Amino acid sequence: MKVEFRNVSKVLIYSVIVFPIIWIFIFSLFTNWAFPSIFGFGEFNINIWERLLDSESLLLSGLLLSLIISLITAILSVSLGFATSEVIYKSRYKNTLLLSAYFPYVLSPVVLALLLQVYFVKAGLSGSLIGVIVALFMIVYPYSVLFFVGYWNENLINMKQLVRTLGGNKFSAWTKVVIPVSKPVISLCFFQCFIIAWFEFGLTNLLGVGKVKTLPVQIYMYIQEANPYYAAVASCLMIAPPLFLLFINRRWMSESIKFSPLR
Amino acid sequence: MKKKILISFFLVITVVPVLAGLIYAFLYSLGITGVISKGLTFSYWKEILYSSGFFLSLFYSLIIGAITIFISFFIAYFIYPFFINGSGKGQLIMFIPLSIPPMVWAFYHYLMFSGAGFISRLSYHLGLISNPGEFPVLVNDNFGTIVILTHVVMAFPFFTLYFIRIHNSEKIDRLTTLAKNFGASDSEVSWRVRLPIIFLKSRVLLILYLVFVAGSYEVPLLLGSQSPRMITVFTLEKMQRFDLYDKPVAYGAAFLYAIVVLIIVLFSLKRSFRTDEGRV
Repeated sequence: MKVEFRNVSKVLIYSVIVFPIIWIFIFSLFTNWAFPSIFGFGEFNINIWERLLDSESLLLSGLLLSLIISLITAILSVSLGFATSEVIYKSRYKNTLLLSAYFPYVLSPVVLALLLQVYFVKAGLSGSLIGVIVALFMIVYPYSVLFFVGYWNENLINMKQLVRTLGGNKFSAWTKVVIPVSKPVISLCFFQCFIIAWFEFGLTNLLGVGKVKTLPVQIYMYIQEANPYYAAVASCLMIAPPLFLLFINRRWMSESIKFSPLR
Repeated sequence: MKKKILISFFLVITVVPVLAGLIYAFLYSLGITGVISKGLTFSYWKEILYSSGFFLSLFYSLIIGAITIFISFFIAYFIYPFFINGSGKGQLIMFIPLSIPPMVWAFYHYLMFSGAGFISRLSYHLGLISNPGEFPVLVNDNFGTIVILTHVVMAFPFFTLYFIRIHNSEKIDRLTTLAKNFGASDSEVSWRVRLPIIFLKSRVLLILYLVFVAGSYEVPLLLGSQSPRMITVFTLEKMQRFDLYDKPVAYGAAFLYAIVVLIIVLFSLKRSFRTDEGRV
């Protein structure tokens, strides 16, 4: 009885989790979903998907733009965050510094964007791709630092020192020991940093002033225009890369919670 | 030297922008700077504190956050034991909802729960309603029903994974066996052993997550009510109005919200650090 209840609960939870993805994908293949049709979904129409192949497609440019922004932000945040985290881990003021890392991270990104908007306008970064990347970096980099500080330990520091004792230089200590040993954790951090940048809407919309049309901005735009079919295609494009990264990182995923800054 | 550069860079990215933004917002709200600046005035602050609806929005956001955390906590608390053992595929599936952006979750729930949405159509075919107008207003309602639901489906998988980690690190299985050897029943173990440990170990996470939910933007923007509004929607709407005299109020609201959030986070994290160091 108990086992049955457990299995039924599991099936229910799996359905709640998987159903939205399947439903949105099927929804994106149709148009004219008139009331009261449930699964009829109106007319089968893959025009919107076909238009993705068009070089002038807004969805395609949105996908590429989102990928570029998220990848650059994640690469910069992971590399600089890893280097900074070692210094903070060893610092006497570790806890105070960590507290300050939470500042931009816990403030709602859209409120942070509002507070910084004037400086971005003065610096000429408002409405530009670089401006959005800089703003996202301000949230993702502290996250990366918090992530890696939870990873550093005395063993890793000792391994690094051993390289120096055996005649290696600082650079080879990083490239030959620290980075190869930390590969799974670096991949996890990259995954999480990519996802934070990939998901962001409010900050991008405010500092991009509608000119930087990433996928979340486009989904919002299509919903405002009462065009759910385009919004569904954009949603599928938004879900695909994180799921792909999740699939690649599946072996290490449970570890990611261990290092999550939300401790 | 390298250390100093990295620490300085870190502070420039984390502390300096937040401080600079807060100072500018505070000065703007006092009328000292900005396009409509006419010198020091407290009139905008009077509006923020007494008539703008700021506190209602803040309170509403925190209540939405608290309800979300409460529901997600108990869902995760009851389901995480199902996923502790096994191949790990069960745990992996919990990452799927975390890979779906809030904007997509909001859009999906909009399609599900709006007047002409999936649930409304299902109700029509079951004979519960005869037209979309009879379906109860769930999207954009005052209770924030779908806003809470959307946040719950994003939060409970994360909490589940987190509780599995606490369960393993705190060796709750051993404590359960010990309690049962002393004659505790299954429900006593659940309420008097498992629950207090999970709650105490996750309380900082719960507070931080509450702050995240209260500060969420896209979900209430699409699915939330117009009155009262969540604090981020309230602030942004004030900022984007045509009336320039609303801007100082928006800046003041952003400043006050940021201070409240920073105090909550500072207090809870300091406590957490002290606990980590064994001082509490």
